[in-house]
Amino acid sequence: MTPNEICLRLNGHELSQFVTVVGTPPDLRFFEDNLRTARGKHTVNFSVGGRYIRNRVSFRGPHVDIWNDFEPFAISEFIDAERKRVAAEQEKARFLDAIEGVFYLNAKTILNLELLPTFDKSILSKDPQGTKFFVSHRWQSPDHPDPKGEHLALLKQHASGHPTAHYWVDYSCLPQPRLVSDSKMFDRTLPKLTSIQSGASTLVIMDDQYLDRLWCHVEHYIGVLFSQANFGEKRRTIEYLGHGPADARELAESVQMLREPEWGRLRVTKESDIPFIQENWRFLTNILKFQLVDRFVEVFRTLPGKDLYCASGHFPQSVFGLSYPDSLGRISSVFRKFDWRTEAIYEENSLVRTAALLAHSDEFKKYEKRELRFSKYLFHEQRQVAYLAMLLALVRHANRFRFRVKYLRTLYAKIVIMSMFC
Amino acid sequence: MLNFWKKRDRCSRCGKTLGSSRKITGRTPITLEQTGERLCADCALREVGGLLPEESGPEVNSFLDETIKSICVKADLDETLITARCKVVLGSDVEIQRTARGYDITFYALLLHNPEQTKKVVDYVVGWIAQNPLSINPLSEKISGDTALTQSNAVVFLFIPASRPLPSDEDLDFMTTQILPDFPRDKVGWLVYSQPHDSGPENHKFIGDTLSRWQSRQSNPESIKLLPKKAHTQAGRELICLVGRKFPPS
Repeated sequence: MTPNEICLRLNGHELSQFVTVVGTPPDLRFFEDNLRTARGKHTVNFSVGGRYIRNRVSFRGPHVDIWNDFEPFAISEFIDAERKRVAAEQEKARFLDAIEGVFYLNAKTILNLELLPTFDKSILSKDPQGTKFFVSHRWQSPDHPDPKGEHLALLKQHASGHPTAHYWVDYSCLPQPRLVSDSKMFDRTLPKLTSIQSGASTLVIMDDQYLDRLWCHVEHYIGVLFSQANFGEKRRTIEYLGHGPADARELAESVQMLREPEWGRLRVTKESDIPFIQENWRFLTNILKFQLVDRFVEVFRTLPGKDLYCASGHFPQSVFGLSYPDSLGRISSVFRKFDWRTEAIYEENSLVRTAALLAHSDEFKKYEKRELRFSKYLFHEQRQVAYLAMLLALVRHANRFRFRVKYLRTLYAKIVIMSMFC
Repeated sequence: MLNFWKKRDRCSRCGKTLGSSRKITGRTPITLEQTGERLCADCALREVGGLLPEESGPEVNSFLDETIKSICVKADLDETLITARCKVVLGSDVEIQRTARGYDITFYALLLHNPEQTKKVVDYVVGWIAQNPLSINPLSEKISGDTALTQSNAVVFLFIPASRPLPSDEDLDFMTTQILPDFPRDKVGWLVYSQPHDSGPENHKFIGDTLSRWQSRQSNPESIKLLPKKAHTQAGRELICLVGRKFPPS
């Protein structure tokens, strides 16, 4: 079957744009098997953006007629405004995607130390390649973070197992203004701590007061956030030297839900740091929002014929309309039935796989008769809604005379997963 | 019942019984198109000599990609549930088996140059999948104590295969009295998991990851010992638990 053989008409008008296909031809095997023999009329109802849409779908083999009264949502203006907002947030957060001129202690140097040294370029490596660790710890005294060498002992233990790694320790890798004259560099680098942390895995040296300190608390929070986010092959981890938090499970869930730290409870030496830290935290939460949208978009992209009917849809913009806690809450309830690793929800194709497993489990029954509701940020064009109606009508057609979805289960499960974007 | 009376399918050249000794289904012997001869893998290898395709490379990837897509469309499956590969030496055109969460398929590499036979193989696999559908069990987790371990309390880990039900609260109480008879019930926490895989290395990795994640949250994890203990449910089902205790430094 070729794209030209399929004729999709919406409210009497042919949707002809889709026949111009450049590059790899779309895979139409699904329609070979399911559309060629389809005959009859179906009514498919669902909500988009809180509005009830009644679709009438008529199949005459590869000729499909769809009628509905969906009014497209003007997403362009919304996106432009949101892009500006996020750009402004990034500027306020002073977050850089790539940061240069950062100094690190290498593992070999750490193993030869007796006490953490002050900033000294001669023993530091500038912008090294390879494995990097960002060390988050509470200063034990105002003048030296580790006067008894307890933190250094833990670092040495770690470094002996990672002989080629580099470590960023604030006291040694950043000139401290009280101790050296290079205060400009201190002022330049301090606001970019999370940029440095984003390029490394986090090592936490925890003590009783660690989580009460504002900087420590946020470094820990961001470390957990980065360890959950999907950085592809350059995965970020969080490790605890000594002991970890007793409530790590709750902490991981709290970070994943992007619950704000209790700012008022946390102690900080310089009160003026607070607004900056808050801005920085708010901006970084976008990482998980974007990654969750990516997972939904992957599901969309596996739908049959998507190349034909939704080629104009660039879905990353949907992130601006995402209600993150609601969507995560809904999708997690299904995801955890098949995978307990909470952070795995951000791995590539995690939701495609969840849909595939859901389709072959008893859990699927729960979703068969539910009224489907979709976000207008995911389905904002008339053609997208018509396409969705056609797929749901095909599911209904394949399962005619039955109350349950027996055929095209995988397709239906994917549509159910997409309805969890809200 | 053994079908000893039935004539076994044998190689036309060496007389060897056709089919692999591995636990597989879908034994379709290699058939030479021109002569109709049915050959074992060794004779087929000699027949084609140096013209054998490779087991990897772009051509193989493209073949696997296309074939799996065809199977998935016809069998109503997602591609993420299938692992597949090609092998130059194989006792049949295809070997398929069900895994805990999908299907594992091995194709005979010569199919790359035989589209007609590939179609038959696809139909065979689709039919086999229809007869052996997946039944995925959702995971479950039962927690009755996830507090930090001290010398005065204990934690018991239990890993149950995904296909088996989790024990009831009454079962856990019953088992506590067998494992830690001198401990008050409220000092014993249970962490019960149903495993995503029934067995194999993925299963071991899951258990290892779960235990190390838990240990990383404990203070002085080096003073914690995990000891295996057997216990019975009220219905007499024997289960092996891991009992975690904290001991004073020696």
